[in-house]
Amino acid sequence: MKIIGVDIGTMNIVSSCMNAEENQMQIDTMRNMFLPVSSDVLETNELIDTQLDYIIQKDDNEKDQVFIIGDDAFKFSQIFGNEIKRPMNKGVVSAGEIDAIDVLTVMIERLSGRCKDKGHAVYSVPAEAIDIKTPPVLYHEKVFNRIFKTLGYSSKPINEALAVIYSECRDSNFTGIALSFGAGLTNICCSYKGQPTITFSVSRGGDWIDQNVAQSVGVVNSRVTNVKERDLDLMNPKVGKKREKRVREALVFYYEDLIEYVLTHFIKQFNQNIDMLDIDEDIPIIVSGGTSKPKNFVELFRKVFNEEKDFPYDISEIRQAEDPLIAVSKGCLIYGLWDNKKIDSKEPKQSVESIE
Amino acid sequence: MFIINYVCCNVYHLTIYVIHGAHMFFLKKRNPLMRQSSKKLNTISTNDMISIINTFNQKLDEQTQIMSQIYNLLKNNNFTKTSNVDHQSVETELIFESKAQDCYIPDPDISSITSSNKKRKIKTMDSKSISDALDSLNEFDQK
Repeated sequence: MKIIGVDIGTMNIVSSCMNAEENQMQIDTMRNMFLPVSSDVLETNELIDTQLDYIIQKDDNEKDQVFIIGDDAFKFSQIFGNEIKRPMNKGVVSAGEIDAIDVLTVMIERLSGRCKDKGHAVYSVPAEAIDIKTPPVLYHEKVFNRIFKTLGYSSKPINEALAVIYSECRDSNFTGIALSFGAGLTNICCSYKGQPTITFSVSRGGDWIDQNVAQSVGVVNSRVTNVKERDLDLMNPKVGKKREKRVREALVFYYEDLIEYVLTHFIKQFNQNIDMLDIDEDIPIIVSGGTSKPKNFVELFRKVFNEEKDFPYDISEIRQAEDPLIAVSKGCLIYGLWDNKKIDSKEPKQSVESIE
Repeated sequence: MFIINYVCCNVYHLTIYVIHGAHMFFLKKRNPLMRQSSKKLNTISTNDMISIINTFNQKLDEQTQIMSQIYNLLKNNNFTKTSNVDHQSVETELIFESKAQDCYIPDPDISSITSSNKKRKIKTMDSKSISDALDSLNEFDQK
């Protein structure tokens, strides 16, 4: 059976699977975005000669609509200054994007392929946000079940931050607290021996930073994203030309604000649930997600965390996931392989019983 | 604001389900397409369905009076009410028990899509950490 782990993030989709013959994990990533291109800019027959990732679909009037997808959409928008479209918002399928579901299906097909025989996909879903009312995750889950079914996979959702625990907390017997700083949301999960005890999300993430920096400094969001992802050092923002320096300084300000906001809710939630959680060992905190990628993010997180005095548990360490962009997808894959092994080990037993 | 979660449809009616917290509400309306064109809903495309959902969403946002219509529709159909509710809010006053699998989730419609075949750059990583994690999880199972 082909098993895939898919991190369905607001900014990136990451798909992983095992190549058993070479003892390797294969990973493919794509930015979760698309850019409609007018036929005045690029004609359909010209696209074939380009090296762009694109799709062409017929609209209701049977006219070709061209969407550049993934990383190419991001690069194209950088060149032409266009605002890109996002199939997801705040961790779930965007209600306002009419083409979201079809584009997401094509993106997942490009990353994971269709499964002609048996296939199983484990994909990440966010927890409900505690600080704003967001669209329910249930609908989002059902949409992705349909998408995977269309591509030939059975599917199962798991919490995004729990996936980080499966990926990063083997040494502590899958006990730990994971914070997955995504683009739309920050997801948090406390796990005790692989079982989630507290899961929630807060509504701020990388998009919140980008929007605020863009408004504060007067540049488009995608330019902020570009500076943030290129070489941002959160302890040393004073590099580059004057405008870029302003962007970097604003990024540091909003990063610190994001961490403070997340930790305020984080500590409040753990204090509210202290009666439910009787953990008698020091627990690790794992920081992950694309928004945690800038240099010195963990140092900034540690600094803000150490200023907070009310966290009710003893922490053994605060560390970053081995690869913050891949951790969720890898955790989904581990869970899928484990789950499948359990099913496999049950199936022969049942057949033996039935023969008897 | 209402977020529409499920749409059930037949030729005559469009039923919209709204989940709020642990509760599910619904609104049943005559199929708007039946009045607009001769299209039958059982052949409706995903895009058409989404545009109907968006139209309903806008209407629900714009016209607060529709709240009382929903209330009346639900009241006339003997839906369960809770006792400790905020009577100002239809959202929390009326509860409709329904199974999600009976409802409509849009099917992806990629039949008319042509995509580029740009070669993808696939990264590889050593899988030892995965097999180690699986060993530990299997030990859990054995315990």
